[in-house]
Amino acid sequence: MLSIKNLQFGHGSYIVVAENTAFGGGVYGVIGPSGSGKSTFLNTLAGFHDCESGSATFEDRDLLTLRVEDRPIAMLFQSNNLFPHLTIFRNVALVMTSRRWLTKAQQQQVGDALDRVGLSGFENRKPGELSGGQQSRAALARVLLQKKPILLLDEPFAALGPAMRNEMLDLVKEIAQTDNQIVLLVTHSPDDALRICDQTIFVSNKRLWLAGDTKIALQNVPSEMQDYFG
Amino acid sequence: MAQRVVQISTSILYLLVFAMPILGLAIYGGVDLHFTASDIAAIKFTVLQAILSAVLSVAAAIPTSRALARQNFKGREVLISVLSAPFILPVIVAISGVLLIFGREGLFNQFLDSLGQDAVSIYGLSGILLVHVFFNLPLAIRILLFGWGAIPIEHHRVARGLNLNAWARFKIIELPMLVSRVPAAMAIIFVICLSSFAVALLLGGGPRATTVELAIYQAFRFDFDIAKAGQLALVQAGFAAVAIIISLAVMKRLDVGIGYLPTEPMWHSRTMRLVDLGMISILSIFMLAPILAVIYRGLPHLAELPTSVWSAAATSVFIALPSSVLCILISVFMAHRLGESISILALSISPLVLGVGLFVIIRPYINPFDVTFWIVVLLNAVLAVPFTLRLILPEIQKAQSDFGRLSRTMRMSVGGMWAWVILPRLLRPLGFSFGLALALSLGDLGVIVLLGSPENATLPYQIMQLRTGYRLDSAAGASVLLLMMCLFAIVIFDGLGRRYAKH
Repeated sequence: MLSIKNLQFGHGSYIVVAENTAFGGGVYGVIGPSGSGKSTFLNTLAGFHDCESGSATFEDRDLLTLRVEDRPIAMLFQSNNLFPHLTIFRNVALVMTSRRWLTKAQQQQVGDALDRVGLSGFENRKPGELSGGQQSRAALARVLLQKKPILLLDEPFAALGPAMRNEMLDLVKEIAQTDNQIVLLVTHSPDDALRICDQTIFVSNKRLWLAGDTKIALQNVPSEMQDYFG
Repeated sequence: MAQRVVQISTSILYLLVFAMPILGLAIYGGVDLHFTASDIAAIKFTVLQAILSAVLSVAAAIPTSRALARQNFKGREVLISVLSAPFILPVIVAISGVLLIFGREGLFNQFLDSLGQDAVSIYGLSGILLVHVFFNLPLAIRILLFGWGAIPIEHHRVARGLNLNAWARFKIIELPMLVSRVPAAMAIIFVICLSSFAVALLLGGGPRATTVELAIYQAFRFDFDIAKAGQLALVQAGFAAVAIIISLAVMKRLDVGIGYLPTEPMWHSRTMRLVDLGMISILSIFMLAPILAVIYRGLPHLAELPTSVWSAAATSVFIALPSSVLCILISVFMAHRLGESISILALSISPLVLGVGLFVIIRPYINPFDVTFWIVVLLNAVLAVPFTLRLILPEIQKAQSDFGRLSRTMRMSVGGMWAWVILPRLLRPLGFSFGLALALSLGDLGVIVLLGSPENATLPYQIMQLRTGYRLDSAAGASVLLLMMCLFAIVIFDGLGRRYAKH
């Protein structure tokens, strides 16, 4: 269970006040206008941004005092999720070790992760030799192997075409269900949210709140967000 | 954390290489302010030639850089990069070239002679200024070129819409850029010329054209008056202090580069274009003729070089290789903003000051002439750092900003991050930097002149010896050899870096 209490974060005079919320396993859409603070929210949880006040805990352990690498969180960014000069195998393997040679067991684990995202046989390719969708799959294989209970996705599929994006979203959903992860997905697309998000978080006008079931939330868009949805 | 510790301790060690010799000088000689008339003359001449060099370089750069910014012609980018060649051109080669064109028997005097004019002499102040302009004009052009390019094209269009005349357009659009950039360009060139040694050594001398650097050399080498040399070195260190203050004030806000070069059809009227292209032609001839003259003069003698030249070339390579390795190691370990600021020291404090200072502090323990090799290796390495660091640092910062977060979420160690992420992405600037450090070290004619002897002569030192012995054929051949070595160093290692760069 991920819970946030009295959490406030932002830049300069734009401070977002987050409603006290507890997140259980499942996929949450994070929706709001550009600049409303969606990415800052994810960065605060991941440890790339210091909050103004408040707390975030996971299984009753304080998150915000932990170092980035010690948080139970994996994250996919908008871009630069793979090292372009390294092979897909190495990109994924670096989660486990910086050593050049992997043990049999480690190789097996990397192979399994790539298998699970459908990238068997692509181990020795570089990211530049793969399609956008395949690159996203490789990045997903990496976070799979990180085995973190919380997964933050900051629009990692925004550059993909609709078919590819749906495919990736379904894969995320499947992984989240199997591993019982808490997934927060920043998106601009109501369709994406409807496709995989059980619940939706709105961020707007210096507020962040859990709006509940995605279908219902998107049918009852608050007046202040009407302009955003158009 | 570990990374920070390495960066800070390397920076401190680097700082000590500069601080220790100067402290040694102050402690050994004490700060004594009794100057002879010739010392005062040297101090005055140093400042005078630096001011004149700065003014002349920038004055020549204003119309030429404007022409380069305005006219679009085939090979403009190539010309602009060729114009930067003097940066890696060994000073002895440049001087040989300038003498071939402007010397007593040079093309320029032959031309004057054919007009019935008296010959001009290049020795003394005029020669020093000529070579300083040759070396610094490209730098001034780069600084101003960026300025011309940064003026929005819309400003020119609006001014035309307002029907302003040429003078008003210049005053409103171009003058403000010049007002902000010209003083900075002059300051930098002034600072560089304050510590001019090799140029003064070869073209100056005598009571009327001796710089402080040259006076240090003469006190040390001819009179072996180390107290005197130390005292003058402290004066030069004082210049360096002024230079550092100027550099810190100026460099932060000075972008150098080609920038974006917009050209506008209105600049392409027939007369405009003729005037501009004429200017560019004169500039190209001035910059290229000396280099071409050296090659033309020396190439026929390349096959018949004496063995002393080949062994000097070997010495140069044996010095340049460890020196460049050390330089790159320092640059990587010091790749940090603090390190970048500290490396400004190397641009201001002259190798001669460091050489005399090191000599003084190690003499109680060891005969400095026994370790000349290592002193030269060390000084060549630290003096090239400001240039290599500038090439390497931005790439490291980019790798860290692109992939630092990702690496942290993956729990990668600092060692893993460097081995798998940063170094593989750094090969290209590393290759070029290594070649650059090699070229700078191969061409160095600084501390080796102070401590060198026939046994450990480097190639530039050997060329100087050949010139003073009037063996000009061999000197010209050896200059071509040196030029080729510098070029190969850059081409080969830049090529290797590109080839193995992983992107």
